Amino acid sequence: MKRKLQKTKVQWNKEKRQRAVSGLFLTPSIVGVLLFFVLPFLVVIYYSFLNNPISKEFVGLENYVNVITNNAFKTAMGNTLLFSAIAVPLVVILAILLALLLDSGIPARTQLRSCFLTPLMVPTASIVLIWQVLFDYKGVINAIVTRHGGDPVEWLKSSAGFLVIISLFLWKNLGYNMVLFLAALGNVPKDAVEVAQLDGAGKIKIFFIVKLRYLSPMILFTSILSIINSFKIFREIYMLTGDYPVGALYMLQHYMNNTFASGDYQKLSTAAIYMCLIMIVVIGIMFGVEHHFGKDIEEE
Amino acid sequence: MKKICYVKRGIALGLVAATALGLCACGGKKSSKSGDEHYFKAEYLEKLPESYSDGIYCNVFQGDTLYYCGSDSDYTRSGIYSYDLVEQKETVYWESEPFYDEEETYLGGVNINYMAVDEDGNIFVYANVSELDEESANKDYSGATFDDVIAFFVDNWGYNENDAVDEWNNYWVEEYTKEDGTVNYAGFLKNMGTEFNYKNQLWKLSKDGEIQWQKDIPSSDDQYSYSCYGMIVDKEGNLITLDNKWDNDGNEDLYYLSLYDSEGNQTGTIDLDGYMYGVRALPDGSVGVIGYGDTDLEMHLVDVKKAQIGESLKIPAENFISYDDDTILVNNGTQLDAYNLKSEESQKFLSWLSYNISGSSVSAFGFLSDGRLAVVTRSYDYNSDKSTCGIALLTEVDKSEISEATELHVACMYVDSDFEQKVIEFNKTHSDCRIVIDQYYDETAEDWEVMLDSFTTAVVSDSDIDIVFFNDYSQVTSMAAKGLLSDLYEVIDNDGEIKRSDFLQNVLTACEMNGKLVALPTSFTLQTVVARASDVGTEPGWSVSDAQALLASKPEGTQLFYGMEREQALRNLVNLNYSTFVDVESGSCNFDNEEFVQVLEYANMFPETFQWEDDVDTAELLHEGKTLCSEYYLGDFNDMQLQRVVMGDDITFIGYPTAEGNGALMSFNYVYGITKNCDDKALAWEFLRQFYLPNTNENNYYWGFSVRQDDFDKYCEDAMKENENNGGTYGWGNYEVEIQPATQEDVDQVKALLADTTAISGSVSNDVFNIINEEAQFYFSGEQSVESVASKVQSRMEIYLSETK
Repeated sequence: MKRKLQKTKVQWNKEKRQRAVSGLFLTPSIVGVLLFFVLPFLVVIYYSFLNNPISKEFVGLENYVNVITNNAFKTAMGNTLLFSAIAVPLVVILAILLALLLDSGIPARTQLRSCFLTPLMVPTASIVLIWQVLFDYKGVINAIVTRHGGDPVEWLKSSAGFLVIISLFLWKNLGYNMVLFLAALGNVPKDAVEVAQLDGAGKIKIFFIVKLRYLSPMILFTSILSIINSFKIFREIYMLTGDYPVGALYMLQHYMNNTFASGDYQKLSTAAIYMCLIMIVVIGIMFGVEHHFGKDIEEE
Repeated sequence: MKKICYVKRGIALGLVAATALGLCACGGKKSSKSGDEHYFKAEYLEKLPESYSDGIYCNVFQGDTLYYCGSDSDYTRSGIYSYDLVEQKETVYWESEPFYDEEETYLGGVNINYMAVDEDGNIFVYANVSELDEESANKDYSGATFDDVIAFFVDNWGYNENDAVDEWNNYWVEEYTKEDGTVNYAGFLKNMGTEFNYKNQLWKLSKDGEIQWQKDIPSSDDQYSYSCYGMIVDKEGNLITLDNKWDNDGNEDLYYLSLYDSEGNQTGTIDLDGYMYGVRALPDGSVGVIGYGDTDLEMHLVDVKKAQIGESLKIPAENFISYDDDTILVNNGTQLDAYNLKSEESQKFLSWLSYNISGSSVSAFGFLSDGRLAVVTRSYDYNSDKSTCGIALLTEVDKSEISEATELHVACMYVDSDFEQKVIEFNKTHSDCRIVIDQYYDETAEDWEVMLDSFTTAVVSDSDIDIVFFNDYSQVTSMAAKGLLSDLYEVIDNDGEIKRSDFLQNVLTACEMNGKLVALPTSFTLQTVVARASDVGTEPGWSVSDAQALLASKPEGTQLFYGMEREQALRNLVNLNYSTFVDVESGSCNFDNEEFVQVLEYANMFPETFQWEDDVDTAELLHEGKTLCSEYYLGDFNDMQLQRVVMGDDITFIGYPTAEGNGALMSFNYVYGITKNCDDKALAWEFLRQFYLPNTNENNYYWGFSVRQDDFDKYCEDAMKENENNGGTYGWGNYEVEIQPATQEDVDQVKALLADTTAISGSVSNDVFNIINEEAQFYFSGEQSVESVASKVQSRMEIYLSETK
């Protein structure tokens, strides 16, 4: 009995030591996260309740009201949400379709996969340059349009610019998502597919009943990744059109970038909080959907 | 297994330790003597020697002694002196004979150009000696008359008689008129007729003031001219002078070093490549010559024994003294930097203004044996036309010994010496508070825009800034829109002496936002356009179509402006019409209208890049009517007279074309504001009010009109009286006018123009102008219609304005 008690004490001491060692190793990461993520986030919240960075007077929710009623913010938020709502499903669906195509054993599969991945290797500045050459008022696309009797389109200075940036987003992100889906398709249990085939299910039915279920965690992952990337499209738009593009291309990050440049940190902070809340809600909904549809897979 | 685990843990711990050590390194304190800013207590010597007059120069520190050349303003006394700064004892080494006799006749004499002192206190001098030519000096001019003077101008200067009379009356008569009213014609002719022989000499004076030797060195003659740019004694006692020799025909311009031993025997010369600034010594006693290398300022070390140039060291500025082994203290104009010659890095050593010293007035500085830093200052006050010299002794103390004072921070790009002087006066009279200048201009930085961005960011985000000295008016607009500026009416209304009614009302109105006075300039000019009254009528203000019609009515080849480019034209009109297009308070805009179309059409009248031609007389083009208008900055009444002569007609300040108003803009100088965050606005105003007090000085030294009503009115009254400017000439090309007092019509014309002017030049930010200019290019290139461009500008500006609301 005494020996057993001693052993427990030794085990307890070992566990304690292990925790201390783990804690020691975790400390730099925790400090880093606190210092570089949590603390700045708290500062952002603090600034969102001030009148300006100089007077620093507490104004309650005034900034939240001002920003949500501000026309520039509304335009930016509307454009950003619209862009994400169109571009994200599009990039996910097209990536799945491409993955299915490549998974079906078509010839030159490896070459095609490499081809779709090349946009990832091209620097943003070069991508922007290519798009400028294509979509400038005197660019290649307008040259083709006018050659066929059409009027030139102000691609980058009108609402048509929305199509340009969606195409740019797809071109850049499609390949990476496709590779992820290819990997996920490779993990779909072959016996489940064979059982479905024995039951007489066709290819479409197999996809929707079997493969899609197994793809759902990857769909969630790529969707979150694509939402994040869709917010990053500002970089390309900024390089194509500058600080103040036409209304249709004015994104949330334009608003934040410009308010930062002009020193309106209270507006910037408030807009960042709004953006954060929206992201939390959207990602929360997506987790809910994935949890609902992917539950039976996880249970297996 | 266990061994592997320990290895892993060891590696991980090592990495953690490395990270932690890396962090520790960030906060390391440099042990170098020159590492951080140093703190001093300043003592200003009240009792200075008589010879330390308003004209000291050639300052050299050696030990505790300042050696200098001094002269009275009237040259009755001049010479070489020294002042022991510890003992506070003056020594006279040598004094010059008077330069003028009782009749004010110039007698020649010795001008000391440069001075160097060796470690034993022997003084070396580079002197320019002018010796009277006895024959010409003995010529008898007694009985000379006015006619003789005129004959002199005709015979010697090639004037006709009328010009000779003008020359005499304008420039000489006052100087040669005695107190009893008689004119000393003989004195003038003697001064003009007496000849001198000039020669350059090197002298050595012992520490007792005895001249040990004097040696003639190359002097200017008909073929070559010689000049000295500096001299120094090295630790071996060799004398090195930096000389310049140039061919009078302009074919040769050579800088070279002349090397002498301590007895004045020349031991060699070293030819140099390009322009050189001077000779200096380094901490190790070596000497070098300073000049530009390929890109940077460099010090080329001199090997005196071999008579050749050695290694070159990069230095930030030419004005420095030695500090410690590898460090020199460099005066960059506003502060003293400790510059490490090895690492080529600078650190702030002290700020001159912290010790009530204007950086621009520092003429020499050096360490005394007790470690105090002695600073010699010489400043010139344009308003009083007087020079003032002084000596400050700075004793280094610990930071904790510096008495705490409330600091008011002034943010600015840069300040002039007048502003610095006002800061010094304020700081000297306020022991418990001080003005600190946060200057964002850095002369070593290359990109002005980057510096301007830093300044702009600081004024909208730095809560320590109390006063802003704005660089352009768009910063005022931007800050005021964010509510970051205080209402100056509040401090003016609490001022017992200065009232709102003291200022020109349209200036106050222009500087108001939502009824608050957000900024206030000290002076302004009116930016407008001048044209012939016969072309444009007598009333200011015209439209773009009026301008187009006028141009169309003239022969082909006539230009509206000479040298106007499209972007400049667009900027002018956007500035002028901004309030027509934009309602800043509501954040709305209206570019989809005929006025904006007219602005674009006006800008399109001018070329994108003007083809400048050599030898074009722009005044002649205006006179002949080949150019119809001229941009004009109205800041006084004299230039108006010249404009009339050039135009050959009455002139009208027609302004830039605009749908409404007179087409003129106010261009503000020295615009100040107090930030909302300033804790003591009354104190900030106490400093700023100095700039808005009535001008009591006759020698008012600033360009433009004062914003004070009384000063402006007095300026107008004075302009109509006979004044010192009258009789002087203003010229443009082949046209010249003798300035006369302004007429009542001139004054009325300017007053009427001012009363109707409310637009402010530079009030449109670059962001706004860039949006408009970018889109306008599509119209200018003919790619898009003016309506399409206006619509895109409207879309982009709506976003901009919504964002800033």
